[in-house]
Amino acid sequence: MTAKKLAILIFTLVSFAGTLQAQSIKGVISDAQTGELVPNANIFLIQLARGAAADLDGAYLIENVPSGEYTMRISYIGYETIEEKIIVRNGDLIKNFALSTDFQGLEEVVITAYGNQKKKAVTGAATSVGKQIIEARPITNVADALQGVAPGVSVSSASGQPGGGVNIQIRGAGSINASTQPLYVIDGLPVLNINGGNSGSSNTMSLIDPNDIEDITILKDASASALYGSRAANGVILITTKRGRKGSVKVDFRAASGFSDIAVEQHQTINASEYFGLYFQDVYNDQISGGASPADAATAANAGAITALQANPYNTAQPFGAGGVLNSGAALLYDTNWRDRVVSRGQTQDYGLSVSGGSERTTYYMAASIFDQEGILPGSSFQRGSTRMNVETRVTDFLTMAFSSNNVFSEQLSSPGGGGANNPLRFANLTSNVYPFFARNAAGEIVNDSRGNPLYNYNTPTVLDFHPVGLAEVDQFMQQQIRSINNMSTRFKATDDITLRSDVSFDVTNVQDRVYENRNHGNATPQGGRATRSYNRFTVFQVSNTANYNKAIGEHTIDLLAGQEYYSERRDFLEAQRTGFGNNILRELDAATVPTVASSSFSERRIISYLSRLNYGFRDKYFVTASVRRDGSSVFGAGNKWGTFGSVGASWSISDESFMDNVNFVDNLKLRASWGTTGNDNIGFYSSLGLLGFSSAFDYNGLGGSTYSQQANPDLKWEVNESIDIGIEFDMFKNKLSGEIVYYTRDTNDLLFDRPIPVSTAGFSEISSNLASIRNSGLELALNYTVASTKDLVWSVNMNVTTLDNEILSLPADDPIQSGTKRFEEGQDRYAWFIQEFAGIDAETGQATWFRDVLDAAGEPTGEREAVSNYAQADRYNLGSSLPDFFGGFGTNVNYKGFDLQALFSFTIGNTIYDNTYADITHMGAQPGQQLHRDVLANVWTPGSTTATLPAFGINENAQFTETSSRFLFDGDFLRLKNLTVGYTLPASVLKVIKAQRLRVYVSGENLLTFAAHEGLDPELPRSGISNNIFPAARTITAGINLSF
Amino acid sequence: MKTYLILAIIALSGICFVSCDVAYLSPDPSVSLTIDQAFGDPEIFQTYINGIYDEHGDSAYLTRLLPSQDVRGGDVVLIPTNNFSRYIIEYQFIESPVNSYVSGNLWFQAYDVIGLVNPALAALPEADFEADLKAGIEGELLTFRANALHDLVRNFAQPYSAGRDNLGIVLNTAVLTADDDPLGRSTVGEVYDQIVADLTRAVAVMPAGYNDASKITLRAAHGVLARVYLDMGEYALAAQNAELAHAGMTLMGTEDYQAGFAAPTSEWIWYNGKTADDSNGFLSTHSFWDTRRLGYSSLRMDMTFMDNNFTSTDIRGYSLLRAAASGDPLVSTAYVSNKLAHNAGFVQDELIMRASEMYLISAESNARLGNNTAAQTALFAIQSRADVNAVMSTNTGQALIDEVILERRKELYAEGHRYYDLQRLQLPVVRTTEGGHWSSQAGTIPFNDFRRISPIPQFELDANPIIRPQQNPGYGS
Repeated sequence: MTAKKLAILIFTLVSFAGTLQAQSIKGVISDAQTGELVPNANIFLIQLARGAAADLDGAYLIENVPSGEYTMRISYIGYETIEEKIIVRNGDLIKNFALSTDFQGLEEVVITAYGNQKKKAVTGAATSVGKQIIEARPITNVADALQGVAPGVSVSSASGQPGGGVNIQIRGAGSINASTQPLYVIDGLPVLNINGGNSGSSNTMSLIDPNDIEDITILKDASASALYGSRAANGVILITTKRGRKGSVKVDFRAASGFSDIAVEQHQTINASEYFGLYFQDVYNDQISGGASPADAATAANAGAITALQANPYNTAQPFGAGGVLNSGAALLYDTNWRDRVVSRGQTQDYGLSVSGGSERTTYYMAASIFDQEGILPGSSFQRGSTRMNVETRVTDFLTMAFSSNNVFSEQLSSPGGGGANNPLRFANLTSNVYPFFARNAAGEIVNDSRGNPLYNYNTPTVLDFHPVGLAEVDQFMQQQIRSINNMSTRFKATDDITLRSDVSFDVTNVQDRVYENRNHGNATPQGGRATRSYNRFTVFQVSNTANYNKAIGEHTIDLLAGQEYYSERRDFLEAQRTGFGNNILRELDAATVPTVASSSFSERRIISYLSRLNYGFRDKYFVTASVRRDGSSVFGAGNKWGTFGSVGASWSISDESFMDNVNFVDNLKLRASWGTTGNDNIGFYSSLGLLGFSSAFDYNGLGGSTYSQQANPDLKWEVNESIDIGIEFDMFKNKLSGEIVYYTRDTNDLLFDRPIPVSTAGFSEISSNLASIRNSGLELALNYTVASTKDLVWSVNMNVTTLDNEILSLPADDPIQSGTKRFEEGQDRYAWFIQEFAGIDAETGQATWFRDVLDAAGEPTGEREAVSNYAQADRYNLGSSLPDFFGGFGTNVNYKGFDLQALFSFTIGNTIYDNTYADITHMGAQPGQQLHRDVLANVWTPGSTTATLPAFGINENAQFTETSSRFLFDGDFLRLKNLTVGYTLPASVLKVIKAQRLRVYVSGENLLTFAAHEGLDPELPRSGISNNIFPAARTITAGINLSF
Repeated sequence: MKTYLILAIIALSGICFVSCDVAYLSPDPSVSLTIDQAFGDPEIFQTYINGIYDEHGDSAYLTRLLPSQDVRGGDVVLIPTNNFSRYIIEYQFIESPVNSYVSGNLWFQAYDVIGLVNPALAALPEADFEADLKAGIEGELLTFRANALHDLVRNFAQPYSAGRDNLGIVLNTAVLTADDDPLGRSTVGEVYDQIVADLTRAVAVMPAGYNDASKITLRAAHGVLARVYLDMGEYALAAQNAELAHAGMTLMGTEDYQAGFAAPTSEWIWYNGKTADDSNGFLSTHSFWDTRRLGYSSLRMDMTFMDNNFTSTDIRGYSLLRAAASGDPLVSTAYVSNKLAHNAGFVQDELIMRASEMYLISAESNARLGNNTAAQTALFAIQSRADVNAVMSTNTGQALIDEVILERRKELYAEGHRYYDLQRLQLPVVRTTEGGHWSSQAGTIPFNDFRRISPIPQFELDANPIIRPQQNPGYGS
């Protein structure tokens, strides 16, 4: 007899004996709205402090229940918790429950690292974002769904490029050089988040179809995330995908279509006649002061302006006469608003189909989707086709196997110039209206090609030869990705208490870039056209073996986990390039003549880990979690590869104490506190080694070259994040008001940082080091209030706000470290600006001035400051921070009969941003042809002016103004209506007729409104706070339908 | 079945336990060796030397250094549009520690080259090269270091002619790492002494007979030494080295001259070689001199200078300039020059040194030494090649010196020499609107103006506390 059979026999005997003394309670749990069975719900008999979990069929059984009166609590993630009094006597009780969908975020179970846990037992900071929040809105990238909904999580779109990247920071940025992106874990597998590529910005998270997601849980502190130790330093985003449920087959279909345009109006600029007029006037004034007659001056000024601009938008060579009056008959031939011509309306289409269901032993979820988006800049688009299959089967009663597979193909097209200096938005923002969109001949007529199509005008001196619409027609910047994420999981119930689990996973991403730059215009003109092909393959292979011991002994519950993991990440890269094309039709390398690049490389990071965790509960009121993890990473120096990380946390369900029995307005009250450490090895794979790099980039004149590319730092070791989290969670007034208040600190020690070293000493300007300590700390507040909850109307409002303070605790030397426009100094915020301070316009000369310290005879600052008109002599000062005082979101959900409405606002308050574009378009004549802001019409210095905010205008006269200074720092506060969705679900009576379970139609808008303290650019900037003509965020309006049957 | 499953799971776990050793956690990089492997194998050592040549020819070093000198020399006018603001700072003499090319890239690149040279020089005695080859490599490395120091000291310090005791630059000849203490500035005299020591050793050990001008040859080492001695006022040594540098070379013919300086000619002593798959493209010097708006097309010749100094038969004058077509915006501000004509794709070798410069160093040095005939002869070699009607100069003394200095302007324009001459000779920068200069930039910048010397870049000041109080006067921090 095997142990299993013996166990079954004993169990049966015990059960049989039990029925003689006490009864059992059993039943099924279903969804109140759909009637579907709900698997895995938790059933708990409060008085007995024990319970059961429903099986996959929604059925539960609690045995050995003595006669008596009990309170039963039924809970499951995404549903409202039910408590009901029952009486058990004289035999078994059959009791079924119907759970309603929870609109108040009162989920009782939280998905955690390597499992899930009752919410009140969770000792760390874990915020769950249920599928309702995702499902209601049409989003492209999972990360978009997190903005404004979870405290402590800040999200900024890196670009509005379709399929582009999204930056997420959880509780601030702990690292400077190492990545600050969180770890994404999909169904237990940590997946790579790859940003970038040759042909534009891309982001692998955009490959996940948001509709496949059941739940997103954000693990914010070490107690919650420590089991992911080595890569969890920046927090973890746990994604759980949908599973099938036993029962009838369910088919979900969705379709949506929408359009988009630019979300934020760009800077106000001047028109062609105003622009020409400024240049005319400048020369005219020079001529008059030089003694010329008004008529002669006008003639010279017309010629001078045309020469300076290399363009004349008028129908005559003498548009203006004496005194700057328009000559009769003179008229503009055109007035090109480049932004209107370059930015166009984008379109979005999204279709998805999923089938799920299950039999006695097997459940399945299968889904396929197609997403197609055309961007708002020329030539930009994103297409994604995705399939997913999640299957789980009970092979025997002690062995369960699950397989999940997600395959995605995507194709992203970017505008020519991508994020570079020639990107279309930069072109449109910086090119004056005085240049024609189409080429014109000397007579001002549009020039056509041989087929009668107008030729584009490439003669725009600011960005010469880069007509964005023209280039988009012939150039190609394509990135194709194929991603396959596969996981085979085996769960083996060795005894009733012990479960062994083994997961074997691989995640392969092929990223293929195809770039063609044409032979006639733009970057590759001198080479006669250029094609580049690159292939990157990213492979993650992971084996994870865990053993779980789960036991309730009297009032004690023990959940002990031990495991071991193996992780390898490989990057395989191949690139080839040729130049010299005979035409723009064939774009493959074979059609070109000169081989210019052929390169390949391979790199690998490996990690070995051992992990263990204990969850202990007492009386279902007191909980302790302790974990420890030991990781060895290949990226560190020989003696420093291993790091040990751990956490301890406790929670106390105060509302379960007897002294709270009389406090009726409190439903749940929980206090939690935790401490823990996590590690970060997210730097270059070979950062500790002294390297002699080989690359075609070091070749010389046809001879192979190498270079001393990195100084060794064998002492390089793990960056360690140490976090503390103290929080109170509550539900009050019959669950009408719920929320949490949390204080957190996150100290990053041994910060991985490329320490600047004097290049004059060692020939290197930086070295990978463990440098400093930084603290991020703050408060998080989240509230949800149910205004009404009746049969017809469910209305709730919610808000969350996070404060974030950043302080550099220590640096290796006393000296501050300058990093671009910021300076790292002990006791200071690492995002504090340290740049030249603008001192206004000199009322005498009209020149820009900046401050510098007045020095005494010994060369020490006296504390006084003076204004200098030579920028080179200005000193730098601390001038505010790009880090906000607080950020967050608020919103409302209303369900009235069949109608639903969701609104979500996000906001950021108290940061300062640097507006590069404004600097570019207030060049005051120094850059003829470059666009000018409307401010130059009103606020320019003229002799005698004391209120001017811009220096005197003059052709090539005043290049000193646009230099980096506080002149271009602006208040970064903004409020954005991130999403507004209105939907209508057809009533059951209609659904019966069409034999459907559910039919919802909706209209949804993203980024509908933006209110910003400083206008003219998208205020949703990266944390650095520097605007740089990045692809603007889009405002999208989508209409769609969800159909289930 | 269960037993097998348990065994299978244990076996699966075991795979990892077995392989958990140091080797497993130390994968080798695929396109790098560790630096200690660099100098043991002569073939790898040779790739390291090639890498230094590549670094020297980088678009941030050589091919940006040359125009940044010319735009400050007065004879060259900058067109500021469509070049992403390149050279605008230098042209206007508004460099600051944070904004300029000279104070940024040159400092970085030149010290990068020195940082590459020092470990190689230290390892060379043990390297397994044939004696001749080893001596040649030693000369190449020393010349690289001397040339980088020379580039630095002429930009960041007062000229040698203004005194040996002025603050020079950081003098670094040892193999230093991130853990070593930073160095401060040595004096101008100490820096020149080191340059002379390096080059004297180089010319002593280098074998003759190597004539590949894409590499540093004995000629090139003599040429750099001639430049250095000219700076130092050691005219006999300057003349001697200049003559050794060009001895046996033929000056390029007029056809080569007028074809533009895009490929090596008979008189090129040293150039940085470029290939189709390894060129600086739009960032090459020639792109900025381009006359057809295919490149950045930003540099022009001062019209007064061209109008007043060239005879009609001088091949370097109008015949090198693009004819002024009316209404062509390119020639309306100043003259376009074909001297640095470019090849397709802007793939052209970048000239560093040619024999004509050596003739002129010899001429100037001999003139200053009173060797009038030698000076006149060397000068005439250059003048007669340029102009069939040229007549041998009969000037002597200061008049002869002035004539040579003018000839340097005429012969070497667009090759990055004029501003160094203004520094060495302590002359003002003079620019006029008539010549095509911006009205805001017209005028004179005297030799003693602080802006004539570049600021030590901010990143160096930030990282190096020793040098922080040693910023050149006039600049903020």
